[in-house]
Amino acid sequence: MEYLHPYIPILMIVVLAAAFAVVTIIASALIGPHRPGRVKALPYESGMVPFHEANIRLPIKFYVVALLFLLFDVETVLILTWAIAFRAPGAPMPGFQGYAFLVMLFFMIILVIGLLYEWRKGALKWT
Amino acid sequence: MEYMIPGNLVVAVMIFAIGAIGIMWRRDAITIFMCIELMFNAANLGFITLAQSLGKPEGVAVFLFVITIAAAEAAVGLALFIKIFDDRENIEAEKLDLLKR
Amino acid sequence: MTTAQLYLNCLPILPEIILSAVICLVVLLDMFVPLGRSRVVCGLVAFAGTIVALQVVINPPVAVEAALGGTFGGMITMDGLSQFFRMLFLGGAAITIVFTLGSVETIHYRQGEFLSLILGATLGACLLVASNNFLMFFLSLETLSLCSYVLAAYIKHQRLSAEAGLKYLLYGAVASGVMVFGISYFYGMTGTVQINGVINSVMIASSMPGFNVVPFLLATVLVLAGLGFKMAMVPFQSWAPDVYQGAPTPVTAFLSVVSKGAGFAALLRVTLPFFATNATVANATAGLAGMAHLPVLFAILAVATMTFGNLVALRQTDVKRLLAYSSIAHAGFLLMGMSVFQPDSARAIMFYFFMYFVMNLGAFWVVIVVINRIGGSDLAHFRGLAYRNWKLAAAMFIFLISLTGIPPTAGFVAKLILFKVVISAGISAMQGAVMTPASWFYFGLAIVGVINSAISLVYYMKIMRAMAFERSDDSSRLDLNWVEAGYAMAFAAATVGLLYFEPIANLVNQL
Repeated sequence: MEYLHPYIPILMIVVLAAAFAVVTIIASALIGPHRPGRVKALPYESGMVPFHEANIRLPIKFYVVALLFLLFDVETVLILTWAIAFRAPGAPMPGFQGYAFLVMLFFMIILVIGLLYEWRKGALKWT
Repeated sequence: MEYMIPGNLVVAVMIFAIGAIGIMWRRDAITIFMCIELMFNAANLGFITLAQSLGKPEGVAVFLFVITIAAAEAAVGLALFIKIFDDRENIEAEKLDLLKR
Repeated sequence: MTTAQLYLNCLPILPEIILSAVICLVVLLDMFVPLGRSRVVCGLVAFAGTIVALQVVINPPVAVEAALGGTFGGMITMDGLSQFFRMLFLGGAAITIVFTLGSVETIHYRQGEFLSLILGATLGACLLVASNNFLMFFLSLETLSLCSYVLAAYIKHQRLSAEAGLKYLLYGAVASGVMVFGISYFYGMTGTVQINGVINSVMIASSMPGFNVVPFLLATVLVLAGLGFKMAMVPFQSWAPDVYQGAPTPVTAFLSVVSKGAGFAALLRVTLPFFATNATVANATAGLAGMAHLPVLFAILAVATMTFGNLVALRQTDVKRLLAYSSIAHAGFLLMGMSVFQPDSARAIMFYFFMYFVMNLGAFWVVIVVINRIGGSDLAHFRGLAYRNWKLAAAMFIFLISLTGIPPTAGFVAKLILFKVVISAGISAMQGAVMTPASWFYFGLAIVGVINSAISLVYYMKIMRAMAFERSDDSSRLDLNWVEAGYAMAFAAATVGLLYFEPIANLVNQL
């Protein structure tokens, strides 16, 4: 376990933090006075009266947008690494950059077909 | 920083175990899916740690592609969840019993 | 290496490139062709593309031997194994496309998406069997899986289909997560993700004294979980019945043939170096010290898989679900070949799979026709089929006895060759006329296999009895169009005709 010793301070902080939280909660439950009431149970004790359920449904369109974003977001991972490798010194052979460019071109064409498909299906329309 | 590497692998195993236990105990399909993502990320952590300690870059390449695959899987999964949720107002894995005989 | 060689890399994967181009084309066509015609247009383009790709696989532009060294830095390898399975997968895709066009379940949707998903899954399967790198391996397995999830959930208005898709996704994602973790273990132990590099390091390390087999076995089991899920092997089989029943029937046919085949192809690809070592339970300690566990492991899995599949199939009443359990049982028979690591047993597995391919697709076509015409796949819908259309019933009869493995059919030949491998391993393990534990082991395995074939006859009989001896309320004659009758006849003819198995045996022996 020799290699774990740099983690020991972190571990101590975690333990201390957890202990502090637990002790505070227990102490306030033990020491503090309990006078529950209907008004006190409201989310905003200071006046605002809640007028509907807090966990409302969001429109499903948000999920669709999130889905589409997720896919195009992750393509960036591949494109960025490609871009870094493209100009990196020590290319394996003279014509390598042209080849790499063609490969990325095909990748982009496939992406554009995907985008076209979304567009045509109406997934990008908000209404 | 040589001594940090095995520690990362221990963390990877722990994350994997958390994911595996979560899959067995949780009922909500979305939580199960989050546990699956944990398993993927445990493997990812293993890959980059090993790539660093072995001094071989393949692990990083695998890591990048595993991220992409996990995102694609999440996209397909979320689409299916929305479909099922529309249908029956919950996505608890145990209530998917139309096919059980 | 020059630039020209970089581009020449693409020649061995020409079929896959054609498939990708066809996928893009079909998606584009689906967007711009009016709805009325898109079904036929997309179907024709997809079918033609698959046939062209199949043609390229059969007559490769570069000799198979020349590409053996591997392309793309050894990521892709072209050998007899990948040729054989790519042929099967592309054939399976072409047949599935035809099934799709003939099935009423998928008729109300734009076909382009469906067809491009089928082609995408096929692309994944083809690359999977050719991949010689765990990264490529994982990527192509996921291409296959992701397309299959969507295909299983394709009938949007049907709850069963969506539920099947979700179940498939959850089980599949767990399996692939476990598999990636196993791959990271292999990477850590050997320092490479090249499959043959990993296997070589493991084989060298295992012959050293003091080899610790536990991490190796752990990683193997983790990777096997991912493949076992695709093959519907026993601890990972629970998705199969639900998905097979809920998915549209052409997709079920596709999953039971191409997806399962991809699992076996991948397993063969990973274990291929072992098959050259002639390792059996008897002599495993000789060449592969510490890996005597593998044949035993596969034998146990085989027995568990076929027994489970057959026993649960006994009380099924839905024919699609019954065929799902039957396909689990067949996975068990195929795994039986993995208990003997000899070149012959790899060939026997491939041979068995070819026969399974033909007869299973035939059986699913009959199910599709029954769903089209009678409206369901329950055993009740098969009642009195022999009186309503004797041709269809006769075709189904042939497929069922072939799936059981009764003589005048392809299934019999396949089982015969598989059992021969196992029994001859048992005989060669005998010392003179004295039985050794290893020979008892193999004879026991063969006996379990025979008993399981006998059990399977019982539930196949249930369908036959429903067709021939029970009457349905509606006993009007069933008129099929020429496509429906023609395919059933063609598959039945192939199932009987493959008794002349010489060409297939030659094909397999090229490996």
